[in-house]
Amino acid sequence: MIESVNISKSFNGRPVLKNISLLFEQGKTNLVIGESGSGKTVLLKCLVGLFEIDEGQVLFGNRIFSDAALGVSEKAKLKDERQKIRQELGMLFQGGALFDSMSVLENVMFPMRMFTDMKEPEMLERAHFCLKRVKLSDAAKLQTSELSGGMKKRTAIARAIALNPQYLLCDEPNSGLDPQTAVVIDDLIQEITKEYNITTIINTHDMNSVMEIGEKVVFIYEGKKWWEGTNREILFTNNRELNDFVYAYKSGRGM
Amino acid sequence: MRVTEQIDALEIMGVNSASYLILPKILSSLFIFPVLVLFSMVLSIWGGWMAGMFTNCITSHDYLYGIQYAFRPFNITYALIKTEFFAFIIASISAYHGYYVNGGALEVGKASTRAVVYSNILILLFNVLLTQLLLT
Repeated sequence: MIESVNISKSFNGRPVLKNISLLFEQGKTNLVIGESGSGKTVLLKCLVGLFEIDEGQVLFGNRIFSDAALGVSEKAKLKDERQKIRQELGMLFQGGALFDSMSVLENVMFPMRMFTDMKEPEMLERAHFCLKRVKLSDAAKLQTSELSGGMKKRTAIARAIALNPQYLLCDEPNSGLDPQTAVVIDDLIQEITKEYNITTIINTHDMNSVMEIGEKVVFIYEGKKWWEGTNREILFTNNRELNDFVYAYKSGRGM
Repeated sequence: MRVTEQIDALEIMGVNSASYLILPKILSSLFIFPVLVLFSMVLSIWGGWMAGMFTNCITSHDYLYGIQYAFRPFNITYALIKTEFFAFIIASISAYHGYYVNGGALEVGKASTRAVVYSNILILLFNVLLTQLLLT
């Protein structure tokens, strides 16, 4: 479970997130949707601490990850706890964020090298297992520059699950992918969520993903939580802004 | 790396990205720059010798006598001390600008230019400072 309690974030005095309180449940695919520039990515980066929040609190399970009310010395104490939580966290970036000086296999082995005492054969076994899980066994020796967009995303997923994370966060996993590959990535994320019973948050503006895997959907509009529900409820809501967002896709630009 | 979110990926994993990315560059520069300078010294003396010999400008005996005549071992030490300072300046400034670059390909180009300009200016300043401190 990941919880944000009244979090706010501004950049140069311009508020981007305004008092957002959310609960992302374990074992479910939680989707955050909204227009480009609505604050989805900022929300995700605030949750994982890439941006420090101005107000509010972020909790992973019952553990405090960020708390804007804490003083400097208390934040320093929180650093170790934060480091531990980060090692339980896998993140899939929009562009994959693979290390281009490494092969696919080395990318997947990287977190194990950094944070475990595993021996080389154990790491290789685990990395091959993760690659098999994302159906990339044949690409282990390829350099990342030799991969297609979909393969990069799958490698990033394999790297994200290498340490058996408790939390998986995905920033627009389908951007730049063809519809068929996008479905494969969506299915893969949902399967992994169920298989390992992890808390998954996906930022997207792809309505196909929302309808396919959106067990819990949060609509962000102008930096505020505007609507919350399931993918079925989205079709029957009277929320005008959400309907505008969904309707834009229905009118031939997505669905 | 920041542009392609690789630094963010390191941070998310809990890796201290600055230490992981910058420290090895500074350490390797501090180690390898003096080796390169010594190599270039040897190569330039040998090159001068060969050029003098092949063009008949100077005899081998005169050349070898000449390079030893006013030789001060401290000049090598002085060169190596300066090299260490310059290595640190080049590696740290370039790494700093690379680490904090934001935006796209254009910003990466601008950051590279800034890194070269700032490094050059600091090298000139430190050259004057170290010369004053070590040779006067």
